[in-house]
Amino acid sequence: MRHEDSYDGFLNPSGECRISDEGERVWLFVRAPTDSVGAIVMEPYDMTSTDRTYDAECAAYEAFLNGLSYEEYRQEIEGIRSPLFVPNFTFQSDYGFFYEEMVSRPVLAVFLMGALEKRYHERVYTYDDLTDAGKAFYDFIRTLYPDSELYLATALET
Amino acid sequence: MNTSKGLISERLVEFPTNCVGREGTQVWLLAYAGQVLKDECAYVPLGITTQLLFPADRFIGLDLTWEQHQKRYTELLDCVETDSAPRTNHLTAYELAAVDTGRPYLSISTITHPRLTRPLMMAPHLYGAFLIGITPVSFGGWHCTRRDLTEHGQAFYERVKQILPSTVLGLLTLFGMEPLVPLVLESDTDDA
Repeated sequence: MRHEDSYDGFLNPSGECRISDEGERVWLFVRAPTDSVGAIVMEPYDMTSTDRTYDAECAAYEAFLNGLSYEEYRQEIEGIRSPLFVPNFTFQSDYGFFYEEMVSRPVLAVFLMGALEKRYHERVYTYDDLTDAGKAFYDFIRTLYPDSELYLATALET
Repeated sequence: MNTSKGLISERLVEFPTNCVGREGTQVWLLAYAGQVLKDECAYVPLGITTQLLFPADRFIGLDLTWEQHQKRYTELLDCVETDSAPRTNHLTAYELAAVDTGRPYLSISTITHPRLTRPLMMAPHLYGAFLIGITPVSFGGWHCTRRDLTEHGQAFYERVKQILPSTVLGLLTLFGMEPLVPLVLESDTDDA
C-alpha cells in the first residue's frame, strides 16, 4: 500500500544512490494506431527522452559531438521522436505564438506512472524499472489498447 | 450500440441503446490531482499533471459537475425567456453553464487552435486521461456516469483511483469520434 503523500506510483528506482536532486517524472503514453482518434497533449515539460527512442537519440547526440551541426542534430531528434511527438503547430497562445514544447500525436491514454523527488537514473525509465504492480498495470494497458504503441517518457524537474 | 472501433479490447462503457444521431460519442476517464483541486496553492511536485483540451462545442458533460451544469443551464434559458439574457460572443448558453459550474474541473483555456474558431475548454490538473469508450452514434443529452460502466469499467475505475495520492476521477463525455483537436503538422502550415 502506498503512502498517502507518495507520488512514486509504479516507479522502482534501483538501490543505487541518487545522481542528482532533480526530480524525475515518468509518463505513459498510449499512441493511437491512427491519427483519426484520440487526444493531443503537450510533451512532458523538460522531457529527456522515451524508452523507445533513447538509444537513437543517444546515437544522434554522439554524432553531434563528432561534428554534426546543431541544426542537423535537432532535425535528427525531431525525426526520431516523430512517431509520438511533433513540433507544436497545434496549441497557440492567445497572443498568437506557438508554445515551444512539442505535442503528441493523438493518444488514447496518458498517465503519470510516478514522480520522484531525486534522480536515480542516467538513462530513461523502461518497463524493467517499474514495480511489479507497475508492470502489471502496463501489461493491462497494453492489452486494453491492443493496436496501440506504448511509450514511457522520462522528464526532469529542473 | 457499443463499439470502440477495435481500439479498446474490453467494453468499459455501456452506451445507451437509443441512438438519436450520427455525430459520435466518446468517453474519457480523467484522473485529477485532488490536492490541486482543493487548493490551487497546495504543494505538489512540479510537472506531475497534464491537461486535456477540446472545443467547447464538443462538450456534453462531466459527471462531477452534471447536476450544477444542468441547473445553471436552466437558469440561463429562463433568463432568455424573461429577456434578460446573459449574452456572450463566444459561448452558447449550454457551454456558458458548463464553464460557470466547471471549476475546478473545467475551465475555458486561453490556448487557441489555428484551425478552430470555437474556444477550447480545458480539463486541468490531470494525472492522466484514458479513452474508455467511443461509438459512431450520439444519444441526445446522455452523459456517462459510474452507473454506465461495465464490470470491467468499474474495475478499471477503481484500479486507476488507487495509484496516486488523492486522485479524483471524472467521466467526460464528448461529441464526435475524431481527435479532441486536429493535429497540425508543420507541413500543413503556410511556413512549411
